[in-house]
Amino acid sequence: MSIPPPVLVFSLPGTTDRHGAPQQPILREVPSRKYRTRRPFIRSALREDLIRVRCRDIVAHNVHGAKYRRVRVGLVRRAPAILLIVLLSILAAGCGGSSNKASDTTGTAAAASCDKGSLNLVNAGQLTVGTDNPAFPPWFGGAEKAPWKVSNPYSGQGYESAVAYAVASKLGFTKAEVKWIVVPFNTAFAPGAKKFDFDINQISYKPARANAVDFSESYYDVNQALVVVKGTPIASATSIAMLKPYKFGAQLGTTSYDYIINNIKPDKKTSVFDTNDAAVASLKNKQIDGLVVDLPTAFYISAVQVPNGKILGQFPTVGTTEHFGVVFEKGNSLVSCVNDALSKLRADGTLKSLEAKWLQADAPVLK
Amino acid sequence: MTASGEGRRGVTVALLSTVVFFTLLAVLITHAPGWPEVKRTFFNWDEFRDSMPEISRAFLLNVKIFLIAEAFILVLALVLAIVRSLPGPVFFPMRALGIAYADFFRGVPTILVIALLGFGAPALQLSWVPLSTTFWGIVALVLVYTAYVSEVYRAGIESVHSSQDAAARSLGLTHWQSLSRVVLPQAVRRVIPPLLNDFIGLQKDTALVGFLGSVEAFKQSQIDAAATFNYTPFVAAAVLFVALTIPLARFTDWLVARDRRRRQAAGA
Repeated sequence: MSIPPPVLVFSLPGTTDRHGAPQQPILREVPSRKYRTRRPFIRSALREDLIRVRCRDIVAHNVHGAKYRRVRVGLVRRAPAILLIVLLSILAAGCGGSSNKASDTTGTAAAASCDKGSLNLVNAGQLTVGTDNPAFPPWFGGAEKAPWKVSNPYSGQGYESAVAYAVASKLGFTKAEVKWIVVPFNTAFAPGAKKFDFDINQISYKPARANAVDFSESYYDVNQALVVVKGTPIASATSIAMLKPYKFGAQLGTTSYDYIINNIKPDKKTSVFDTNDAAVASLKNKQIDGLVVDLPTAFYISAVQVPNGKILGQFPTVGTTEHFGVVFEKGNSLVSCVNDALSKLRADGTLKSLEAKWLQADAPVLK
Repeated sequence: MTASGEGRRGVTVALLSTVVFFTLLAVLITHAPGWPEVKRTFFNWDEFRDSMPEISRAFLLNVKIFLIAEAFILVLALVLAIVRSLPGPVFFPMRALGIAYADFFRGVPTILVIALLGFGAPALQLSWVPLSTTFWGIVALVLVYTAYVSEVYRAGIESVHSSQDAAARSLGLTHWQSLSRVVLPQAVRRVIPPLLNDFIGLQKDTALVGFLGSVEAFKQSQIDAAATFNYTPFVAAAVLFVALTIPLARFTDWLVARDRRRRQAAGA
């Protein structure tokens, strides 16, 4: 039979006794069956401490009593402070009333002249256009050039790059006067001043979004499509109803996500990714069964990014036709000028020919 | 009585200075040129009300991740801390491994660990490797926070005076007995506040799991924000996180106070 280990009791090292002399750490071995005997020991040690603390408190109390006699602080002494509060609250109330006017001026700006010289630009004489990096085909093309990845917006190749340059030339800018900056998808609509004149990044128009930023007219009418991996169970589905049992993914803030939630209504929770790249990684890993993106992007993802990728089909339009619009800072007078340019480009068939050149043909429609 | 008079004056001054400070701050903010816009996009009551139910539901995932991860972290971090405090040259490789682990996982940003594990491990295409993003998110958080918390434990262990261990050993306790019965009880008690600090950090970092696609509170608020381009859902998510953190902070305060009370009560 083994002997139970002894229980140790001791005071904290470095404590002093009541006369201030250092006390040696006390160690005492107590057999564990008499476990309780340690309590009286601790009790006596702590009581001493408490008495000391209490005495010091009493002394301190008296000292303070002598130093600060209790004096009634009358209203007179508080008067300056009260006056200050009253003044400040009047100031706050008065100014609060006037601040409402400021917001009225930020309404939609009146149609301004669309001469190149009178445009409201971030950098004078230069059209600053934003999009996300990497800039993916088929929206952007050309050889990759730093800081841009995958392709190069300056190339004028790819649908959005081509449209941006077409709009720029209608506004009177040369190709050299167009500057591209990186604007992540989710920051394109952050409130406040924008670093770009407009942002072209497959952003779908929604009425609620138009409260935060201004949209141009449509430069592309879009359908959503479903990308899957060949040979997985979902690849044999032929209708929207057959998609219900699978897990879907979409990029954050896209109408693709809304389409999944509102129209496919899958049984499993939909995954949402900050970027389409993360969604593609998830599809490759089979963490999701299907990825919903706009049709032109679906062509690129299925052909290039996902091995054995396949467009299962495009989804029929529900409600109003979805369209991409160029995004502006709220109240920017540039909107009407870009809209003019877009309607001219639509009328003379430029948009249609660019679409035919850069965006691929149809996919079967899922019913 | 004199002390209470002084106290009252202190309260008056504190009250006054608080009122003046916050009035000035409020005036400054509400008179910024962008205030109406900020108020509309960040503090929109209708948006708040509409987005709150969905964000609350998504927040349950944060709580789940936090609770599961915390249970593993508490145990694994203690093991790591003990391994790092093993004496003697025989245990050098284990100590070295412990140091390497803590250095690595404290050095790598949490979001990178989450991305590497969440997208990397399932990419191995092994049938027995779980695909769930939440699972990998929890694993990543456990790995990272184990490194942090083990350092907290270790600090606690080292704060116990070596005479305690020496005394225990001199009485014939083994290293393990001295550690488990003398050192650790004192060490853990001392590090409860810093432990809580790390757990508040963990609570907030559950939002990083959303990077893998799981819809937790922050991701849900991003979804809502992106749908309307209004940022009020972020404020709603922040309110939920704070609402979880504050009770935990008060709970620890209570725990520490109770501990102190019990030790003193033994002498009353």
